[in-house]
Amino acid sequence: MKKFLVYHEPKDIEGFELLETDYEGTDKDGFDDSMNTTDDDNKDNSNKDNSNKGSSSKDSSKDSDKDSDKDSDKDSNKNDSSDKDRDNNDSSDKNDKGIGKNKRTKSPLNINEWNEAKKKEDKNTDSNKENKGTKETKDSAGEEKVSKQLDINLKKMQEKFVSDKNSDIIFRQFIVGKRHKAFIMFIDGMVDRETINNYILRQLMSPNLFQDQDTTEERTVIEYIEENVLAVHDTKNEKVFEIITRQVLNGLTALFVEGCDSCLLFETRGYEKRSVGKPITENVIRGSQEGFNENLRTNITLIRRIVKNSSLVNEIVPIGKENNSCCGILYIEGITNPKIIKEVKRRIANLEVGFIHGDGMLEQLIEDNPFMIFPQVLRTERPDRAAHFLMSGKVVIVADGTPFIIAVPTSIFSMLQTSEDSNMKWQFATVLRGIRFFGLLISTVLPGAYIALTLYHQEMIPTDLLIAIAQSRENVPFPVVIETILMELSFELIREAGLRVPGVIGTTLGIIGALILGQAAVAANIVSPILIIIVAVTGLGNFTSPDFALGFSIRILRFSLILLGALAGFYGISIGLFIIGGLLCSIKSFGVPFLAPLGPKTKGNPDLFIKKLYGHSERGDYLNTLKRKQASKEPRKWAEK
Amino acid sequence: MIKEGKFGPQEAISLITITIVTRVFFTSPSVITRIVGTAGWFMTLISATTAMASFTITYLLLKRWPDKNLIEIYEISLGKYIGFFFSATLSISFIIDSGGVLREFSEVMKVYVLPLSPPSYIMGLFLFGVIVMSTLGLETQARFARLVAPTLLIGMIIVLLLANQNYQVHRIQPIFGYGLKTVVFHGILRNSVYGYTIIAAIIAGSLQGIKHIKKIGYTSIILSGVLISVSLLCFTLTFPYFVAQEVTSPLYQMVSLIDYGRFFQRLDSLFLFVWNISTLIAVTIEVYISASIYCKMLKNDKIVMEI
Repeated sequence: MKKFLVYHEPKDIEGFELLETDYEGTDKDGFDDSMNTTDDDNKDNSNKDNSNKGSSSKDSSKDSDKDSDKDSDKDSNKNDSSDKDRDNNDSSDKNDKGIGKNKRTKSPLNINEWNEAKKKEDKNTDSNKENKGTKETKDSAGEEKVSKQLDINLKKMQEKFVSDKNSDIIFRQFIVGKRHKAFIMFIDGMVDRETINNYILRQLMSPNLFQDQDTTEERTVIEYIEENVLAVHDTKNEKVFEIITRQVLNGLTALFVEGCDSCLLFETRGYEKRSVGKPITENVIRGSQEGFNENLRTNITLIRRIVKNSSLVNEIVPIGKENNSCCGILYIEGITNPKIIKEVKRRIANLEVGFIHGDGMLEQLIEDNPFMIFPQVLRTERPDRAAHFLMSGKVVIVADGTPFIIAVPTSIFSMLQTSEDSNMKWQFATVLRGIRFFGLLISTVLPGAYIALTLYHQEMIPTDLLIAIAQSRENVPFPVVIETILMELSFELIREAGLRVPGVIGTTLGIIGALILGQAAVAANIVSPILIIIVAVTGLGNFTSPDFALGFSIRILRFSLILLGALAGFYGISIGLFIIGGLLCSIKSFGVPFLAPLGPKTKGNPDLFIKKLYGHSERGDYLNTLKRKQASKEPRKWAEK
Repeated sequence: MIKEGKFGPQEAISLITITIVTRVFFTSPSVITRIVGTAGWFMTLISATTAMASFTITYLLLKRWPDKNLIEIYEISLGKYIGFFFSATLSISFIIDSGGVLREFSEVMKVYVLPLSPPSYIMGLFLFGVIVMSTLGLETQARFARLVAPTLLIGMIIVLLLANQNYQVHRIQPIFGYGLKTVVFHGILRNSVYGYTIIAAIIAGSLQGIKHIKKIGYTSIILSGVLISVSLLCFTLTFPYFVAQEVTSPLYQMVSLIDYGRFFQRLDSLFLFVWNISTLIAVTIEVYISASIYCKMLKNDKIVMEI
């Protein structure tokens, strides 16, 4: 054990003692020549009773003072003969001073001496390891591999999982077929106990299943077990400890057998997870009512149920260096542009982050410009939307931990469309899209425009309306800007508070809060009634945005337009819109411009504002998919004469 | 060399056309009326035709050196020092012009929209937008121009259509204004209005080939010529020529005269969006081009903002 220098309150008030208890480093670290002792001496002293400390404390303090004076004088001369002097002085210290070994003041060593001492210690440590005979094999890449000796594997895994403290990890040792020593390891709570009890342990312990085993064959016991014994649907032979550890942490069970240099991993996941429910943030009237949940495998299955295409590829990659989470990269081979796939993999593989849980954190790490206020990836809770994105040539990333997936690359027009558009007639879908677009525009510009009109451009307002506004604002003590900002902030508070309050109370609080707050504010002449309408309509417009992140961006930009409208009326707002438009035009999502296919203009019109009559016949040109044509332009062949 | 991205003909045409047509929102119509009377609408067509002939020379020059922009051609054809002088002149002319447009805009804004605000305040806000957009790059500016061009065009057409209640056909007479000779002379002289087509030659590296440049140049001139001509015609039909000479911003005045009942009147503030955004685009591209020429002259990799 390494030791640290700590200070203890001396029993003798007059004396000062810096006691050496535990310190980090070698015995020779930071100590004066006369104070150095060997490890054995320190151990002996630590076991002795320190009852003599009080009587010898004064002596020790005087001696230590003398020594410290000597140190200051002789500091420059210590470097050359430090080691030898230490050895020689050890015995003289014991005999002459008669003081407890733990009660000494020490002066720091020179850096060269410290380095030398450290090297010696490292050599000793390495030699000890060799003497102990640990046989951890490593391949050329430096990865530790499974040993043939079961004890070594057991010890290795116990150390890795801190099994002396960790009560979750189970190591079950047994005899396989009454012949070979073995153990399985798994994490309690992550596995299905019935599978382990009935389909693994029972079969492994049964000698009947090993009667046909030919021991002269070259194949290992593990291979025999995999082929002939276990009735588990998914098994994998693995040799690298790192991968085995990760798989056990994912809920698999690992089997180690004496004499085999590989381990067998089998699928035994059986942890509790939320069932498939309705999507919370993307409700539709006509369309699927299934939403993702927090489990990676379940989410991928939900997508596979819709996209029954053999070319749908799912690559599971690890993310998070310390929490070892996983994410799945899904795409359709032969449709998706390989450059996009490559870029997605490159970004995810080059993340140096300890903890990633869910797609929210992943999104922030892989998007093109994290400082841009607009989102550059699309998140959805709906499997049908995810399937639609896959079929249109995008890449879908499913991360473990949140019920959302990421689709890239994306454009602002994808964020304004919902799955309901596909399930309705083109007329209804077109009108709905128009309403959404109008809502978004209103939520961005309306408060700023109201301020600009009332402050700078009163001539635009019809006379009757102008009189009504003037009358309603007559008793309001605040300027329009303050009034608007107050109401907007109150609305944001109500919205946020409604989210945090649990259960039914949340919804009720939101409604009552808005009503009472608004009504009370008007009655108290704090705000004008027309502003309540403005703020309410603005909020409703914001809620029409199907994408939560886009809606949030608009909420923030609204305040900047309020400020610009107050500063310079429509002139200020037009400058604000100019800057916002410029920012939108500069954003790229995995190399694809955010306003594609409108800016830049590309071939074809993949369904932006007016919903296509028969859906998509071609995939978007801006995605550069390998296969452009999706369906016939006239899919209703039955209607052809 | 600085990386300016690539964009298509539609983006470039939108960019150049907006830059040219913005002039019609300020005092240019009044000046033209002062010079040629009621014939401004076809004087500008003569200017456009002359400009097309000038652009043909530019196009032939670019064709001689494909994949090179105008600054590089200056250096190759005129030598290092004279080429530097020409490039510097071009850069300075763009920055002076952008300053002139900015001043004109701020004064018109002060007259009609923000009479109590100092011009520095108006210009300061304007320049903030210009700086932000300039730093986003040429590709963004072109893309944005393409995005808003249809909206601006529709806005302008709506304004011209709504103002028809004030049109008097007899105000177009005399058709040749102060005389055909004067009209032709000044038409040829004022073809510099369409000189912004030279932007296509300066950003030739971003335009994907000489064929695109040809299409961009001629289309921009034709489109802007038609739009300016129609605007001037509407302006001539609205105001008698002796009144038109005194109006600071004739188009703004036309919008303020729109009156359809109690609700649809005094719509000049709505017109501000069309006017402001097109001016912002025009000044931004001029500032950017000036900085771009400067960097290309000195062979810098990073754009230096001269503001």
